[in-house]
Amino acid sequence: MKYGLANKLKTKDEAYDFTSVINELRSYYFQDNDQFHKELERKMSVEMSNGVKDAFTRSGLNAKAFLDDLYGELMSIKIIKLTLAYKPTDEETARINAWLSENRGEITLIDILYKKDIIGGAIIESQGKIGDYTLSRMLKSAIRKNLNVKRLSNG
Amino acid sequence: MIEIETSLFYIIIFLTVSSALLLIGVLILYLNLVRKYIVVQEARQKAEINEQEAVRQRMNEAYRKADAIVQESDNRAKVMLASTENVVNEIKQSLAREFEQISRGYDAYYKEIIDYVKNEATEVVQSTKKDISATFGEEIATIGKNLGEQFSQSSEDFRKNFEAAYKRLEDDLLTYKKQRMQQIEDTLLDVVNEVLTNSLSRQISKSEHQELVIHALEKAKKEGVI
Repeated sequence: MKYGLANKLKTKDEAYDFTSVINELRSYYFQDNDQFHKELERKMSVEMSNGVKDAFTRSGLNAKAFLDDLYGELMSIKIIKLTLAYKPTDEETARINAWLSENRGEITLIDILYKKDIIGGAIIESQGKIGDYTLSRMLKSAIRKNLNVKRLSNG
Repeated sequence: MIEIETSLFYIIIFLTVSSALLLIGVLILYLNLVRKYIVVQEARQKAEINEQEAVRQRMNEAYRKADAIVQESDNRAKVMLASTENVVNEIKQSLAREFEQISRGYDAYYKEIIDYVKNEATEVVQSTKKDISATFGEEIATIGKNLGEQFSQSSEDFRKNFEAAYKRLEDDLLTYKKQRMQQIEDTLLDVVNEVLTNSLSRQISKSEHQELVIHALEKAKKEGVI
């Protein structure tokens, strides 16, 4: 990720909002860089607009080419869907993001769903694959296994 | 000459009258025989009709008894289900008390839960299943005996029909028994799972949740999910 902006995005919703703004700006005509900067400040948070301005300056491209390039980069970001039994704080979400960045070697965003029934652990979905690593599944599996063993031993 | 002709005349008259009387006697005998034949035929037909009616009544009676037995079985199964739910509720309370005392160490924690489920909850399922098996076994045997008695006096054709009907009834009962046992097992599983879910959810801290998620991510990576 050459612009490094994806690192500032923590969740899929944040990425979706940011990508929508960038896509919208691609259709604008900017007479000069000041007008582009003012539009960035109007459309997004201070932190994000500053990040985009820095990236734009470093790119050496005009506003239109930069926005197209940035949009392409954002569209290539991988998203992992996590179903959790609790609602993580921003700090806890950041820790999960850090683990993913460290272990996947590419920018990955998480889409978090909350489902108390799973007790603990997570259901993880990524690019069509699903893994159930929840305490609920382990528990059900253990109970069913015990019942089956009993059933077989009793004929 | 004249005397001979007179005697001959009387002899002819005598023979004619005798023949006529004989014919009348034979005719009366024949008519009597026909009447008796008709009476016997009617009596036979009546007896056949009565016999068929008797067999039909026995069939109806057997069906009625079999139906009553099935109904009784259904009622008993319902009573057993209700009593099973009571037992499950007791387990629920007992489990809740147990979980309050369980330490937070995950391995020990999880093992204790599984042990408890193994030793207590599954015993309830198995003992209930045994009770039901015994009850249904008796019901099926009773139906068999009952039907056997009912049809021992029937004709061979009717016996064959009823043996087929009994077989169907027996199959239905076995299916019914299987469904009931599965229902009890599912109910128990749901309740145990619900209790465990509630108890565990209350006792897992945020930091433990976080560790479980990281552990899940590591496992997903190993399995190629991410």
